[in-house]
Amino acid sequence: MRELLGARELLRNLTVRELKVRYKRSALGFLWTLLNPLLMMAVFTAIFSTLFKADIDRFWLYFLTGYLPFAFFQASAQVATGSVVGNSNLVKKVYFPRAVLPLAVVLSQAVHLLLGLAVLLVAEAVTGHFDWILYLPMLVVAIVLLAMFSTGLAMLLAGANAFVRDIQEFTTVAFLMWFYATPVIYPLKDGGPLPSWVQNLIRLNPLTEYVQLFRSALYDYRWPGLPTLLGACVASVLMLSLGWTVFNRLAPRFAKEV
Amino acid sequence: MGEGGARPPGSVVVTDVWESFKIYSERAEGIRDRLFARRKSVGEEFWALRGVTLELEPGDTVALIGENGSGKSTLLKVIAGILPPSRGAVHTFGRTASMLELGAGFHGDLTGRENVYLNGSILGFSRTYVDTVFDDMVAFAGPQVADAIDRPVRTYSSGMYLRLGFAVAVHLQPDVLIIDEVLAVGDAVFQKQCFDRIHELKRNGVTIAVVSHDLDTLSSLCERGVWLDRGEVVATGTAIEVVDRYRGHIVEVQGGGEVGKWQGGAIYGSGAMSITDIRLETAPGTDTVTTGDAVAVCFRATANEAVENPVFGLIVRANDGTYLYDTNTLWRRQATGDLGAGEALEVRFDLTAHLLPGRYVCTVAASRSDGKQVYDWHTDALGFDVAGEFVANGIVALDATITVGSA
Repeated sequence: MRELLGARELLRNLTVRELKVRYKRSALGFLWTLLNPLLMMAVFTAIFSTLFKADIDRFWLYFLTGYLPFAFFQASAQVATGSVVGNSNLVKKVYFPRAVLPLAVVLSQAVHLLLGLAVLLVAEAVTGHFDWILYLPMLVVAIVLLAMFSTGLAMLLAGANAFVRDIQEFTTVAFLMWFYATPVIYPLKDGGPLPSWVQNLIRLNPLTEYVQLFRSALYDYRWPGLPTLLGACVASVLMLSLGWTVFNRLAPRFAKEV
Repeated sequence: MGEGGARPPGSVVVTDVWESFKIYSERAEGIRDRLFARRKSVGEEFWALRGVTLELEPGDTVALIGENGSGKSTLLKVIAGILPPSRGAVHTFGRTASMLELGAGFHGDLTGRENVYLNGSILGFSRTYVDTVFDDMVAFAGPQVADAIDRPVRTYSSGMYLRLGFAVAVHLQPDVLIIDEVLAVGDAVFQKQCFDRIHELKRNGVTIAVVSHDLDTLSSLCERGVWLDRGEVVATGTAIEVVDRYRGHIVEVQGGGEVGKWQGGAIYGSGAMSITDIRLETAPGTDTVTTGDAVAVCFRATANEAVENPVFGLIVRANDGTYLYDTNTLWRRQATGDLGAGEALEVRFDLTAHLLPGRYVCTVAASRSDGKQVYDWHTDALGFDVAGEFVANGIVALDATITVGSA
């Protein structure tokens, strides 16, 4: 831990590297951070408000308040999965606290999340909604909890992937399943399209809790239920400690495996 | 901090270190192999280091010598903290910087400047510290790099890339510097610059551990030598001593007869003749060689017993070992005459240095009239630098004339 504090600057530089390199050679550059969720929103709004006639008020906002946190979580975990293996030249040739590799990925994704949320808030303001101002502290809590959970999973996958490369292949399908198991594009309420047993299953998904936290601040404008908040806290702490422990156990052997 | 407690920065204590690797006959990386084939047959254990103990004081310079696979590089990685030892303990005190690969961590899409700061922080140096040495670093890397410092490094030539990597590594002043085979980069001028800089670090009291196959470099750079063989320390002492013993060992192993093999300074032969006084004669009035100059490699060959029509040969190589030119009196059907014991001949190879600027080394030899038995062989007995204006890259001066006219 102390070692990681000493590597703050490295962490910052690697995060900046992730951000710079990603858009370095594209014409629109950083704009893609915002264009991607907006295009996704357009596609899903088109499908759900015309094809399926989803009974959701302000579907675009409902979608984005679920999609932005989920996209952050997915990109963090998925990109981080390859972070140790993908930096094998560094891992084999230089010593530094290995945890900075997945952490830099999560941080760079967090920058994307914050930008996305900022635009979302502006959009809400433009459409005449200012209620979210009251709930900003809730939003901060939601971001922190989700970031903890994502960091935990990112470290777990990054560490394990150094030993079992199959993880890299598996994540694409796994996250697609996870996406549909999270109420991003459908409502989670009685009388909705889902039978109650499916709803109960989906409530077991920790991402559901996080999405609900984001929505309570940005969509419903009310404080979340205590069970949701507690559930999210427990999930965050558990995942972060699991990922942290596993990663640091495995880290000394990375140089031999990648 | 383990045994011995705290020590001054720059100390390294390696205590009975063992390092094992698993060798997979077929690299098993899938879940199935990992989970279900955890039997002994999966990987064979290979011990790269077997009980190495080594202590470095601040300011020590130590050369690690040994054949390929002897564990030198593994030991460097263990000292650098990249590989934790399987058994035993390693303590390094102070800041360690490793030069196991130049420009490790450079990203092609980032500019030279961005990469310098990134690389600095990877090696553990703060932005403010890199700020203070940035200008020196860029100046060291040369004008080409300085002009391109704000361009992405993917646009750099491989030479520029290595120069920048080297410049970064040698300007961050660590307490312990670990160098693996990265000394031979760039042209002769840049190499000299690199050595000067490493000598400077040495004078500043940086502890240095080096692996290189260039034994002459090692004995001039290092005070101490450690010879590793199959993961064990077989000899320690001054670098010069250890290098000599190691050379003797190579000659023993390879015997006296394998003509033309790159042996890094080995001297061997049956002893029927002795070659002495090996020297380079340059054009009158200068002591440097410029592209196109006439030069001569000369030596004295003394017969220790009666020999008939001995063969004298010369091999010229580039500094990286590239075989450039090999000639001898046998191939030229040039008679040299018979000698009685104690008689000597003066042998002279007059050459034209059709060589581009760089460092070149000469091997000279005397052998039996049929060339099949070596009397005396001096590998890399003589090195010389060719200077000249930079108009071409490579080895051979083909003296291009470029004509550009309207089509």
